[in-house]
Amino acid sequence: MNQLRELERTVAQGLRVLRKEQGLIEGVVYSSSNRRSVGRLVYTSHIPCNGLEEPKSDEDVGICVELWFRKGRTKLIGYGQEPNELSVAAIRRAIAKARRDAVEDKDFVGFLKPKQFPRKNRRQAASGDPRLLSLDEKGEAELLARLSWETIAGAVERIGDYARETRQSAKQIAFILNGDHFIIRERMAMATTNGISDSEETTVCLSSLTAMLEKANAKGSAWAARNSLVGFSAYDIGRQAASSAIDGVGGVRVPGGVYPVIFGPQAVAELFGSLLLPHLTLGMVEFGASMYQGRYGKRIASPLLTLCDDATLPDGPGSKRITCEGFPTKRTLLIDKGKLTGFLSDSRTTNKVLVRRKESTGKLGIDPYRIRRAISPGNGFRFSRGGGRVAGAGVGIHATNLIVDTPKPLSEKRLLNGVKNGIYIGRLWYTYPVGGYASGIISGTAIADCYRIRNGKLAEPIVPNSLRLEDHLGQMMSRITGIGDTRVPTILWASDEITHAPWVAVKDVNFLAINETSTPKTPPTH
Amino acid sequence: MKQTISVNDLSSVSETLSRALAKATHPQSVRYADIRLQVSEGIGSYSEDGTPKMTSMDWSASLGVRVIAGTEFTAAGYYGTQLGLMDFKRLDRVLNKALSTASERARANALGKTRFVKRSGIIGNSVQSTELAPIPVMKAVVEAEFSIDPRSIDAKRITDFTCSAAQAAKAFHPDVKRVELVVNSDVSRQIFASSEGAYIDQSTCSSGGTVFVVAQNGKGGSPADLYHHTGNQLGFEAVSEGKNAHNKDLQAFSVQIADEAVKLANAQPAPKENRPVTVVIDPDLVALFAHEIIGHPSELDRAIKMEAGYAGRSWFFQDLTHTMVGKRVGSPLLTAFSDPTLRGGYGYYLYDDEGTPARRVTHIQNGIYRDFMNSRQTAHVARVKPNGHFKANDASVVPLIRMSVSAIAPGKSDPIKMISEVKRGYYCVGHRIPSISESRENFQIAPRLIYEIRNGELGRIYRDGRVTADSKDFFLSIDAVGNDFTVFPIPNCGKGQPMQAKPVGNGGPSVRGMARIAQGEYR
Repeated sequence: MNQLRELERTVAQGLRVLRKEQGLIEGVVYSSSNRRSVGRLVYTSHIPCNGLEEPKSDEDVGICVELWFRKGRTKLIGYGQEPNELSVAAIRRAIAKARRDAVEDKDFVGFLKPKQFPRKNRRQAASGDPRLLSLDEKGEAELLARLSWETIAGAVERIGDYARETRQSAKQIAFILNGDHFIIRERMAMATTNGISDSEETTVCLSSLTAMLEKANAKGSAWAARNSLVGFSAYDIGRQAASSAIDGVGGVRVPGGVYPVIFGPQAVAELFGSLLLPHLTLGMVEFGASMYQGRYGKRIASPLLTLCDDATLPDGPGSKRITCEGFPTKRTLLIDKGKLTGFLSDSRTTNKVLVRRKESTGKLGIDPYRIRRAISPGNGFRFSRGGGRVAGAGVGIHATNLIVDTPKPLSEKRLLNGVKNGIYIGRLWYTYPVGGYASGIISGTAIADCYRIRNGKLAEPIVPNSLRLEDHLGQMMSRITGIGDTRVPTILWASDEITHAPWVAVKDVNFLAINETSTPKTPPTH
Repeated sequence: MKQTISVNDLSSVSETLSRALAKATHPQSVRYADIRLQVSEGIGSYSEDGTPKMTSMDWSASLGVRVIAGTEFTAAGYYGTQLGLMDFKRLDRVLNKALSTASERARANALGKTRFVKRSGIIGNSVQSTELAPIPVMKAVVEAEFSIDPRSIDAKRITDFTCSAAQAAKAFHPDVKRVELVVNSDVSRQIFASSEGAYIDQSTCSSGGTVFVVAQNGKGGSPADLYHHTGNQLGFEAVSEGKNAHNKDLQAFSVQIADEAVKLANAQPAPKENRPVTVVIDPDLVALFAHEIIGHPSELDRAIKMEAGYAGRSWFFQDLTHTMVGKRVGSPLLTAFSDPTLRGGYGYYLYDDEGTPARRVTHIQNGIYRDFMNSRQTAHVARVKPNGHFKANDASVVPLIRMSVSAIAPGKSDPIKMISEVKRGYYCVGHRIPSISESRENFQIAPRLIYEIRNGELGRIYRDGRVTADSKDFFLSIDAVGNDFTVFPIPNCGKGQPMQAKPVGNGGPSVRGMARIAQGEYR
């Protein structure tokens, strides 16, 4: 990886070159260096396997230039990038691309300006683990191997105990451990003609494990999301995953129907991080497909729900000090006690909404000029390639630390006490807006860590893949009956944000029973 | 002085790659190494309602290497990176560093593996050396197919093209509120070289467009949001001349999707059918069925539990001695396959990313399950021959077992008769959004449009409904398979960690079977 000072030097040089461009109105120079290191784990007790399947990494270094300039009477906006080179020559080539491919976008009114920054500017220290940031190739190879094999050892030793207790062979228990340790190291620097000059380096450490006792059809999970490996035990997380699978032995099927449900952290991350969040981005509202079109300031969820994105969370795994547009990050209150109070945005989307004032008033349900703080551009990032702030990517709207909160937190015990006969859903799978975004209809399957709730207590585990959630996301938000007091940083596959997810209780949630016995059927006649 | 990299720059790298591989495999502990080196050149444009938002013409280059090393036990290590202009001037150094890093990881991995096996006793016995099933060592050149070279398209042409198409779709009807259109056209060349002596130089073109539409009727009804994609493994003619599965240029295709969005915006929500009803599924929707409930569970890495953490398992496979191979999984009318040598969509190639010659794999033959897509490593585990389905979406990332052109085979029925024979049922058109259970044994797949069928005639259109069933029940219920076989481009199949979105091809003919319909509205 390239050092931060090299990126800073590059953008400073780049800005000097950019300022000499003919017709220049405004411009941005951005450079980055990112490395994604993964130890992918595949252990199966009943099928030949490798254990640590893939110690791997991929990386990118580069610069990009965005240029807003006059050509005759026309204003043009262009983007150009150069990979794997931080030099004045690369900057010049990027500028040439930006000029050559520039288009006339009448919605574009300029890049971010410091006057758009919030008055209260909480500038926290960068949150990168210095030991990870200074890791060399040998150290990285040893780290990936050590983390991965320790996790496998932890899981296998726990399962070994279980196999002895239950007098089963390795083949009989059919134990599966899958997952990965994923370390993202990010460095970025930027400089703009509007006076923004800043840089940042961060580390994100993600672990995600799925463990299964396949013959018993029992499945469990363990995960961690941090910005450092200090205090992290790879062995313990392996044991934890195995234990959660063991806890799922003896699963039962439950009939389809409408239930009071408590969703655990992973399911909450899927519902709030993956499914709800797009509806709370200004981009989706501006596009016209958000469930919350025209609903600003209105009640859209239970008054028990407060939801925010907070990139300033101390030691938050998703925390960043600045956005990829140079905006000092902030806490954005999206839903306040059930009322829609804010959106995630970047500068281009915010400016477009302001420029199209009348149209935006209809889409938001309020004049955007009255809610400038609620639509301020605090979430413009160049997240790409599965992790990293990539110069070769455009700015998009992304969450950082999504926090599911409540004015009346309850202990998990009290949440359970509120459910006489219901279900606890630990993990949802492949949950998508199957009716289209605007319809709010979602469906997904319950695949792990699920239990019946009887008389306020977790009871028998539920067989994985036997229940399909089919409901309306917006209505579920209104049916929240309680939110827990303990949040767990939780990650989802292919997402950049971390959801700080507590237990969430929702009433009247619809589930279908699936994968009941399949008997051969004679094709019908017509 | 050179200002850019082009695919032509790969014509002179063979000796450099050979030298690097020879050096990497010099230590006795290194058993195998391979290199993938890729360059792409292309152009893309994005328009909103006919206004240009961004255009970019550019090149990219990337490198990925694999090393298998170890003494008592062998293990793999990987390394990948994007490349820049200067990297091609010092390619020797870049390759040596990449292979050395991967080698370091492989050795650390092998050491960890050895220690684990020794300390774990019986439960560690399933952990074995990394082995690759043998393949013929090939040297080959595969050229890209195109009539309009993507490199000949300039920024103005593609910007105007994209904006015109978006504008036409927006102007189609007052109910169309927003159209966003993204168009890409590129040529890509990848060199694969291995320490076994393979050298495969494979080029391909790819051009396509994705249109996003929001429609809402003037009576304040719920908006309908739709998106769809068309394209082909061809040059720009795939979008400019309609050389794609939809037989439409991008403008006509965008207008079609706008038309569908307007229909949806004015349609009633789909009713709930609690019991299975007759459904006739058009080829565009069958493509998603072939993808989700046949293609994915037929990936052998998924089957042998390598993807249980994210992508899931397969109901076709329990363990090496308990599988559905040789067992009935569907109606005798159902045959399905993956064939990389078939043109259509984005799944065509002749060699995969470890140099295996690609060949057709039959997954289901007349309702009986037959075979999986595999890689050299998984083929070794399952004691079968490799069939060339190990692919990455970029050279810098590790390949996975991926669909190629995965489809349901054509039958003999007339698709029009397949509808006219139905007393009561639904005709489901076009794919939208799926939700599939973890081992692919249950699905809820949304068509874009659902037409009611009454007495053989198409009736009213419904919106937001989904076709849903247990997969085996649906396969067994198939009682007609059409003769209208088509392969569609699927631009974004997600798999792997970090996630790779890979273009593939999926398709089939019209199919008739029994399934439930999930309602299109919740109150």
